[in-house]
Amino acid sequence: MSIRVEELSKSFTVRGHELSALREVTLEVPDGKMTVVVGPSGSGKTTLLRCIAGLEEADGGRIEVGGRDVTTVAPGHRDVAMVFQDYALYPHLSVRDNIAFGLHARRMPRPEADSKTEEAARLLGLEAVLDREPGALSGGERQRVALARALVRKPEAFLLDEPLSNLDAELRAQTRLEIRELQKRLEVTTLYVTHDQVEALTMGDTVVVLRGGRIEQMGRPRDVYETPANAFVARFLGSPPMNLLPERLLGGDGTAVIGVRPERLALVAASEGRLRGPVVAVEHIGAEAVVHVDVSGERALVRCDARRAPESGAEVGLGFSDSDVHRFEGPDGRAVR
Amino acid sequence: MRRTIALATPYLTGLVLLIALPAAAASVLAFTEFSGVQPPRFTGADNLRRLAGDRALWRSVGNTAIYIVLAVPLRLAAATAFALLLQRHTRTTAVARPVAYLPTVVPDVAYALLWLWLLNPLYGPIAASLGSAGILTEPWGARIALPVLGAFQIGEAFVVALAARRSISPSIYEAAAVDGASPWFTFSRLTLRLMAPVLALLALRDVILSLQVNFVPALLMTQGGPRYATTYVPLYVYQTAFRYFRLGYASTIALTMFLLTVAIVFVQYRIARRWRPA
Repeated sequence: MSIRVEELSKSFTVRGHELSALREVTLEVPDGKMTVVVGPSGSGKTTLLRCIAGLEEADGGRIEVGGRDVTTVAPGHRDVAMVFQDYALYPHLSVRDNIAFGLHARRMPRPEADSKTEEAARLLGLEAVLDREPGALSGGERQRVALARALVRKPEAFLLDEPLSNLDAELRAQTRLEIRELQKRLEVTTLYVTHDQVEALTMGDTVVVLRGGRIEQMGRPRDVYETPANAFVARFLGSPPMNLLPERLLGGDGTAVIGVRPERLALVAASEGRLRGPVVAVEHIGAEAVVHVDVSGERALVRCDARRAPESGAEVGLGFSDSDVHRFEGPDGRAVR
Repeated sequence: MRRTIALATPYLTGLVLLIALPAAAASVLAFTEFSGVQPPRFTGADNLRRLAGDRALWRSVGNTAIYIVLAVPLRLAAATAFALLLQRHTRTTAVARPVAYLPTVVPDVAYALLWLWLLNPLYGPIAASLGSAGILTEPWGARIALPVLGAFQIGEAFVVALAARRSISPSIYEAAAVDGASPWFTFSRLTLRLMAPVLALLALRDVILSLQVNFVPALLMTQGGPRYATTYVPLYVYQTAFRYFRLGYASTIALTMFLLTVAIVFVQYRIARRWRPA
């Protein structure tokens, strides 16, 4: 069942000032697919999720879940499940009762609720901790309980609000894969919110980049990464971010900005480079290094094999092919081909 | 260490002079006959034997039990209800919270006299509007009236309940809303259970409070009547000591009440240890 959001608007009044959290956001999560909404803090991504869940009332627009207009429907009747950033587990209830809470709230008969609870627990490997309370669980287990609680009702759609942000790096990478596999296996329509561009690029069938309550770009992760619609998207996705340099450095006379991803820049001899300058810093990150080069007062980052990284102070040239160059024009840095 | 003792001295002096010494004296007097005029005469366990056969005392213990059974749930329910109603931060609750606390600040004597005027069977507005239904003139009326007027002085319990309610994470309520829980289901399964440890402590504290707090209204409003219906233990101790001048026997009763209170505090301590707030 799909989620459709049409021209959704929401603003908050904070100390007398009106702040637009969402400005006519329109998007669709197709049936059984996963869409990841990514953006910096304050971009409206959590507000979007909360509006779909019914925890915030939209000022305007329309929300459909499974073809049904739920814009004014109470959260419990929208048939969506949500995983909260802090998991929001019921601290006084056992894992079993946490998972079954929604079933009990809907007066499902005990035996049926029990078997569904155990099924969800099995799916997430929680059988051993069913009788424990959330306080006695590790962060990863709590996260899985929150997922099980969402899964057990077999909702039309899943809403996940930065579910990995409270996990350590190793667990985050592992859980990222698990969630994606689970989502594919169960084919449950999922809207996933994150500020982490790695999650956005690795997890979604579709990625939506949000800024200031507006959708900047929407598409397949690969496409959005390869052909960003504007300078913001270009910088926001990818780590380290895309180099943006004034066009005049390449001999142009316009006001446009050119962009090249750090991994698309090659370190060459100073005399052979299309751009050149001294190395001002080298960051070693295991197998790779990020080399900071000063190009006529602008900083360019190059990602290269750590073993071939030059020393600080060395004069280097930067090589790249025209097909890797992006051009951004105008005040909003729109991409032009 | 010396500074600690110096700083504690004023308090300790008061504690010794006003609490410890009188308490020690009472524990001795409890085994004497003492009218306050003649010197106390040691009578051994006579007072204890009298205690067992004192029907007026056991009636006052029964009256106190009735008071507790009515007052504690009432006060607790009122404190919890106010806490839930006023837990949000709005302009209305900012005004309403102090108002809910206000009756607690009124001095006990003034408070009792105010209620005496309100409930007065001859010209009191409440009694008049109820057609003088016997609120203070019949035993059942007085037994209900005194716990009811106590149910407005709930400021401290209200503040504690409010803090307990506000310490529950709001996201739990959002999760319950998405889970499709009705307001009653949310209240009974989440709010009440998460507040339960605090409410249990409040209940025990209120039981101890209720052993004493009825003294002023019982003395000023009903003078223990009608037909001894509001002669609670504290009032009975007071009457025994200062109306009948049996200070020795009054000390025996006070000592018994003290031991009873210690037992309740012990239970409270045990429960507090077992029920740590989540």
